[in-house]
Amino acid sequence: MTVDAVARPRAGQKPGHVPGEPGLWVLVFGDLLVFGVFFVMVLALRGQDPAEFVAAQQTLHVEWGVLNTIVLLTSSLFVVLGVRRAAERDPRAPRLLLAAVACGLIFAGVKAIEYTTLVQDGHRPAGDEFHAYYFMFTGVHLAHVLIGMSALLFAARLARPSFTGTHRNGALEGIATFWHLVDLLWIMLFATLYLMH
Amino acid sequence: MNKHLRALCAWSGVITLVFMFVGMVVTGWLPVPGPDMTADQVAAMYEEKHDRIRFFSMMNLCAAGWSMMWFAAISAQLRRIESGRSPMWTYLQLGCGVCSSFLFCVQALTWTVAAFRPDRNPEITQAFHDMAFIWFLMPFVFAMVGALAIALCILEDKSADPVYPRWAGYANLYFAFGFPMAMFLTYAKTGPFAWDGLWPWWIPVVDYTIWSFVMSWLTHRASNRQHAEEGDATAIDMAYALRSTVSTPEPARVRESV
Amino acid sequence: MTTVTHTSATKSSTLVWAALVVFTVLSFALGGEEMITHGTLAAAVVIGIGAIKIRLVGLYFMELRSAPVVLRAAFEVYCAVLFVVLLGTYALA
Repeated sequence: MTVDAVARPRAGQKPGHVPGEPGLWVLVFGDLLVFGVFFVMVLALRGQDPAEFVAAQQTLHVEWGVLNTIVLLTSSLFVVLGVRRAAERDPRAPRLLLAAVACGLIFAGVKAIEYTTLVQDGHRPAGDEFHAYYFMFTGVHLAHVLIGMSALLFAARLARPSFTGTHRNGALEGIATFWHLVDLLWIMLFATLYLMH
Repeated sequence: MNKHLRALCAWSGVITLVFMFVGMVVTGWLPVPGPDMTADQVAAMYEEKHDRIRFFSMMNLCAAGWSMMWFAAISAQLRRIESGRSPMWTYLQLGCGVCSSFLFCVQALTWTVAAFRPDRNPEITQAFHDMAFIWFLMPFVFAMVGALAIALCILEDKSADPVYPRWAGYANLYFAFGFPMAMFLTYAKTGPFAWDGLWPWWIPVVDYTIWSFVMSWLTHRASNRQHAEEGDATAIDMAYALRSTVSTPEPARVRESV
Repeated sequence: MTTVTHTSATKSSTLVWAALVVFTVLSFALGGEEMITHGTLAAAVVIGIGAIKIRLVGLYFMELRSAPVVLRAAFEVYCAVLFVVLLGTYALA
């Protein structure tokens, strides 16, 4: 990995630290497993009739997908910086987390445009198999985005320097981990649904 | 309360599964018949195995009874977490549990109606057959909200010696995410979204099975620890004991979690 | 003192983000525009880039890089198994 050289473990970070808390990873790996099944299902569907799969795939707008991938990656960067600043009691931390929520709103808005365009073009969830897969998998992912956005709004409140309370940093890290999971799942969903021919 | 009775209540989640499993094996409904059968095929199936389907309905009713005990056992442990404050999550979980148990009865009675007159018009039998399976698999909300209530209650347990381990809270969040997959069965007659497919059947049913085992085990463990702390004395016993020795007129103030 | 570590940490996260964006555009150009005509090779590139991106998000954003070995190993195994299984499904299905 080329970036290994430039991104060494940052100073002051204890090695052996579990992000969030250990129990959270039951949820993370559970979600990774279920989405793993989704990715395999998409490629298995493609295998049944590659020509039909690619033809149905042409109805998607890849540019919107690329835009949304970059929007989510950017939101993840905001969350990383926000949580780091929150740990240092920097007053700019809540603003960074709210910027990530704004990215989530853009993502949901773009998805709404994509869904509307598809339905107007006559591609419904109950239509052909590719679009059933598309709507249901991206719909489940969008539900994760909405849950993550609510959690980030809560995190923006926790991130205030004045906020006192035990579990503050653990909760912030846990919410950040969930948001990165949402980002990570979209990366493979985008690759399998939009890019695989 | 007797220790063995507590263990029975805690494991009744697994007993619920056993009744369902036995019923389905006897009926030959493992794997379940899919929604792509024609009315005549459905009628022929009911003609052939109406007795077994009636047996399956009775197994469903038994499962309903056991599941009530299970939800109550979990509620009792959540109530310990929420002792001394408004037991919102306990009530929410108990309410969802009551509805889930009731759904077992509703699906059982619908299957009974479908199998009651096997010689009737096939389309009527098909309608009741569809209805029973949709009652069985689609109403995910009660399991989902129940799991959410358990999750939030466990994650709010900040005591040094929590009733349930914290990972169980996150595991319940995961189960809560898994159950809604069932709702997509409304769109499909074949393939992975049909009620015998991966989404509405395999993911929620595997989730529910793991959920039953995990929560039964953890509830058993938690009630054992409660038993070790309290002995065989129950809240009522202690309330009576206090009332007879101390002449205070307020036995209701004694909390079960002392 | 904190500002020094802070800046370098910010810089490395931003570099990872830039790498992820470059990978996104690259996989769009390679997979989306069909620059590679050989099917399985194109699939390997798209899935491979996806797996690398997932790994970067996990290690650098989720901070699994400094997590206990077991947790990090579980995640790395997930990335590797996902790559193999997806490519296998593509090639065999």
